[in-house]
Amino acid sequence: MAGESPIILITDDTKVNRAWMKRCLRNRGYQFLEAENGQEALEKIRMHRVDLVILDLVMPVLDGFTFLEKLYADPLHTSIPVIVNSSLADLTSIQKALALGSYDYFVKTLPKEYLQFILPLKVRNAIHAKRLLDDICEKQAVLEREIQAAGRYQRFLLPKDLHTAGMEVEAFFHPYIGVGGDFFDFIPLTEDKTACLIADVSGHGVLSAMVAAILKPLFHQYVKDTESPLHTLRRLNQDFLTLTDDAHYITAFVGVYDPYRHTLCYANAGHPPPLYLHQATDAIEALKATGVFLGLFEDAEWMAEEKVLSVGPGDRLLLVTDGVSEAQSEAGTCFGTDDLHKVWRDMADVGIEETSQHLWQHLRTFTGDRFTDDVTFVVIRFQAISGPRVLRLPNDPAQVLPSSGRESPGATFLPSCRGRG
Amino acid sequence: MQASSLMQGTTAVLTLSGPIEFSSRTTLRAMVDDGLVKGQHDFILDLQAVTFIDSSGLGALVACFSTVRKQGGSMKLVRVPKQVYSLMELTKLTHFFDILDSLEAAMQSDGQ
Repeated sequence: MAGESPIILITDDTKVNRAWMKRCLRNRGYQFLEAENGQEALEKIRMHRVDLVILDLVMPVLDGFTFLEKLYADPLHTSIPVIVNSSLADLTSIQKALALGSYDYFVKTLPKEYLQFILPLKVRNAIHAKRLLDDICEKQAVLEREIQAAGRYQRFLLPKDLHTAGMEVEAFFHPYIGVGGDFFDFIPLTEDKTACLIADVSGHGVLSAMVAAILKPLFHQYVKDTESPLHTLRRLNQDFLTLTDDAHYITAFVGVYDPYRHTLCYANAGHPPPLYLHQATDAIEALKATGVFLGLFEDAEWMAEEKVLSVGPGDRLLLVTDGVSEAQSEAGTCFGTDDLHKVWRDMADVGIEETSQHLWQHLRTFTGDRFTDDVTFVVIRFQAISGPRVLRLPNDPAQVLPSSGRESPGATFLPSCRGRG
Repeated sequence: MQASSLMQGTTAVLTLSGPIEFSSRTTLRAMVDDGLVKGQHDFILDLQAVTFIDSSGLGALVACFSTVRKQGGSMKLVRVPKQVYSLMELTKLTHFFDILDSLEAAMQSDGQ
C-alpha cells in the first residue's frame, strides 16, 4: 500500500548471504523478513504481507524452482515479484526461473562492488512495478463494482409490467459487459393503443448505457405527444444529434399497435428488421428499415417513413437487436441469415414464454455460448379486442364509444392480457 | 481489417480489406483524420476486398462519412461487395453514400 514500508523476504540457505543483502539494501525504508528455504518462505508469505521476494535457487527442503511453482499457483500471490539470484551462471537455470514467472535475476558470482548498486536498482524497480499493478487492480475492482451497480440500475429502467391491451409480451435481456446499449420499452397510449420501442446504442459500456437510459424519458414524452412512430423517431434524431458525437449513433424501431383497428403502425431507423409472423398464412415478413440511423444526420437530410400493417389474431412479432441477428457461429455464419427465421417459424404454435426460452437456447448452441454483444429480444403475440372501444381521457371518467374497428371472425376474446418483463 | 492509403492531390484512396467490425473503427478513423490533417478532403474507399461488415462496421463508415462532410469534404465508395451493399440497403444508407462501380468513375466525378 502507498505510504507503508515495502516488506522484502530474503530467502537464502546461507546466513552470511542474507546478512550481506540486507546490508546492501539498508537505509532505503525497507523492512525485511528472512527464510532459509522455499518451505519457510511460503510459510512467511502466508502469515505476512510481502511485497518482494529475493530468492536463492539452490536450497534444501524446497528449492527455488519449486517455490516459484507453488507461489504462483495461488491466485492471491500472483502480484508478488520475485528476483532470483544464484551461483548458477548457466542460462538454462535462469531461463527456467523466468519461465516460472520470476520478475528479474542476478548472479552471485558478479563482483560485490557491481552488485552493490545493481541489487538496490532491481529491488526498487520491482517494488515500483508491484505498486502500479496493485493500483490498477484496485481501480479495476472499483470500476467493476460500479458497472455492476449501473447494470442493476439499467435493469430497473426496463419495463417490468408489460400488461397491455391486446398484446402478450415476453422479453429477454442479456448485456455483454455488465451494462449495455440495448433498450426496449412498452407504454400505453390513448384508446388502449400500445407503443413499443426497441433500440440499440452503438458501442458497449457505460457511455452507451447512459445514452440508452436517456432514451426512456424521451421516448415516453415523444410517443405520448405524437402517437406516431415517425415523428417520435424524428424528435429522437434531433436530440441525439446534439447528445452524441460522430462515433455514436442509435438504431431504433417504434411501433404503435391499435387493438381495435387491428393495425400496427411502425417506423424503423436502421434497426435489424423485426420479424412479423402472419398466423393465417404462416408467412414471415421482415419489417425493414424505413429510415436511417438516429444521431448522425440533420433533420433536413434524415429520411424516413411510416408504414401500417394489418394485424390478424394470433399474429406474432419478434423484436431483436444486432446481438441476435449478427450472433456468429464458430464457422462464421450469422444467426440472422437463416437460422433466426427458421426458429421463429418453428415456434409459431408454441406459447411465447416457451418461445423465448427456446430462442435463447438456440442462440447459445449456435454461438457455442460465445457472445460479443448484448442479446436482447422481445416476443409479442397479438390478440384482437372486440366490443366497444373505451376512450380514456385525462381526468375524465371512462366514456364508452361505439365500436369502430372491423370485426375479426374467429378472433380470441380474452378478458385480460399477460405480460412479463 | 487491413487498410492502405494512396494520396493523389487532395484525394485519398483508402483500400480496405478483410472484415469491417467494431474493432476496425479506430484504424479507419485514424486514416481519415490523418488524411484530413494532410489536406485531403475527398475520400474514395475501395471495398472490393472487404469480406464482411456488421452494423458496428457500418457505423464506423458512417462516422467517418459524417466527419469528412463536416470538414467540407466528400466520401465515395467503390466496388462495394454484395453483402456490404445489402446491409447498406437494409439500413437505407444507400441514399447517403455515393456508390460507384469503379475507381476511375469515382476519380472522374471528383470536383463536381
